[in-house]
Amino acid sequence: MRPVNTKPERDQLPVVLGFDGFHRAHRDRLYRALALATRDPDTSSEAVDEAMARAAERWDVIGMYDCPEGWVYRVALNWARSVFRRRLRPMPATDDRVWDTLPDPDVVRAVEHLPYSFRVVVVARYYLDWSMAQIAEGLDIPIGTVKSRLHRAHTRLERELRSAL
Amino acid sequence: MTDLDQRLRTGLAARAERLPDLPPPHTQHTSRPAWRTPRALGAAAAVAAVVGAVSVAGIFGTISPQGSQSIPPRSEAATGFSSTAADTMDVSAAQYPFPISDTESMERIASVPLSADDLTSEMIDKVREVSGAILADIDAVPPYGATVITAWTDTFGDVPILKMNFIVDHANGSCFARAEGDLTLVSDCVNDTNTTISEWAMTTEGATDWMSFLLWSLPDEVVEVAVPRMPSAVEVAVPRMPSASIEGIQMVAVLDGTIELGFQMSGIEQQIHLEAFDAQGELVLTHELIIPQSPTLGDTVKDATEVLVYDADVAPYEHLLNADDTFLGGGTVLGTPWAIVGHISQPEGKPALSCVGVRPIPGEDVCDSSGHLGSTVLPVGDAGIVVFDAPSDATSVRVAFSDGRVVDVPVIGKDEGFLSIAVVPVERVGMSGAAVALNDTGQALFGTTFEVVDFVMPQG
Repeated sequence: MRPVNTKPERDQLPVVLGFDGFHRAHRDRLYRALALATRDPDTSSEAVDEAMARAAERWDVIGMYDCPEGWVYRVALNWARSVFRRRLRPMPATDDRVWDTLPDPDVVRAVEHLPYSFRVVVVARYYLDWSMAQIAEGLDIPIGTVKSRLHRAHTRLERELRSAL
Repeated sequence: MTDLDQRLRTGLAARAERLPDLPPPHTQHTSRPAWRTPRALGAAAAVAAVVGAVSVAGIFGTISPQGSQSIPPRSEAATGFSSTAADTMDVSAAQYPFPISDTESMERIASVPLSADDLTSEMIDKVREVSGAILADIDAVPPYGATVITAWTDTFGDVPILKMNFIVDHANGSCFARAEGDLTLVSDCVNDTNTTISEWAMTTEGATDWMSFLLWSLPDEVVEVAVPRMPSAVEVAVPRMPSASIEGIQMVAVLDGTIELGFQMSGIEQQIHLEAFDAQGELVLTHELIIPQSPTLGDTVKDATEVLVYDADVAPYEHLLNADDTFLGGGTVLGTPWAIVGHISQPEGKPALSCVGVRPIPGEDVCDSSGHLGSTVLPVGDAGIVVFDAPSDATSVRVAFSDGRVVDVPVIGKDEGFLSIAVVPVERVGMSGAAVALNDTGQALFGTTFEVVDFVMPQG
């Protein structure tokens, strides 16, 4: 099985990363992050492509960001949410068959039960492995908001995991 | 790393591994990369419209959306979190007479370790040296798009401190940040008019050697106020609040275990939540601050609920309703009727969902609450409505338009077993504002902003 949690190392990428290189390096990982945050792989697949298209159109600007993948993550999340809202497509729950294959289903289930805004930050922190500053920049929220949401998410997760024992 | 951190990393990685693979970008029906497919490119404009329509209202009640938000410099020493140059400012280099790298200088200014002992004229000189050209503009009237930083010494009780102002004047208004000695005090864009000075005090039970505070209000935006080395139980003279012409948070002082907060704000009555974290990031106390309604807005409030009829006879709206619709309320905007309905939806292979929709607008039903406050602008006739999907414990949504109108709209749907929703009419393109969901005690739950970009039905 191919690794999915391998963050592309900046020093392994070209010094000036063109869009094609960025697209190759981040599309799959961002798709998986979106799917974790939205719980909907299909919409996430569309969303990451839509956001990538937007990034391609403005790559001269987006490419200069410290964390262009953060921008794509945010735009894709917004796009996915608009789909859920407009197309009567609720955020789905994970297929029950998946749980049996997970080594620690409780923690994943607890993340899925988090409010959306918390889940987005938790995925960015623990799956994408972004720093607080990267999350703040990527989601365009103050770093204090990131801290607050992570703290609250931790509190909820701990509570749910205790009750799952 | 805590056990929970590790479980999250491994758990999410394992879950991600089990997701279906993406189709390769070059094999989707065309020879073009996936990001250049018609689907992707065709929706880009819509994405741009959505993203462009959402902008950030000022933290201290500045109602007009202000566009790009400046995230001011923060001291790593003060906050415990490092900042990058990009984190420092979200502005275009082209807007400034200085190279964007000068934001790094600003960061360095804010990061100069300051304490009561070593804050001397030598330190000021050091700051000047670091800031170089920027400080050359001290006290100058900022030309459009310019950045001016002022720095001066003062005393805080018996403690000499350094004060610095960062003023960022760009197309969306003046953003203001201030650092005072150990404190990194930050405010968002504020207007020069319609402002109110307020002072608040809170008790600091559980204070540790340093704490950071988070203040947030509309729309869930956070101002971080970090207070390192809090001198608890040390009496410190509290200066008087300065005149109303000075913007932003004016002071955070500690007086015998009490923190005095003073800041200037504009906008509607709102509630600000205050949380204090200790050095380990643990929440040690919370506090609620009630900001009274600004008198500058009181006379301009217009009750737009005159066009909302929540206990209406269904008859005038019957022609809008589908067979399985439960009529919840309705109204008119520029003479065109609309209705809020509840209904049960059962997507193929999915459990039944309780949805709330607006008639005669098709396909825009809300069936899943984000738990926050969301807003969607929808067309009705020649005008439109803003539909707010509210958290379940919200009982009303307070909407503040950028022209000063403030309306309270009841949340409906929940009592009938549907999702919570509130609707306010908007008569013209360009209307914008901010909204906050309130519970039955008037406590602010979540906020959001909206802007009427057009009255075109979204393509879904």
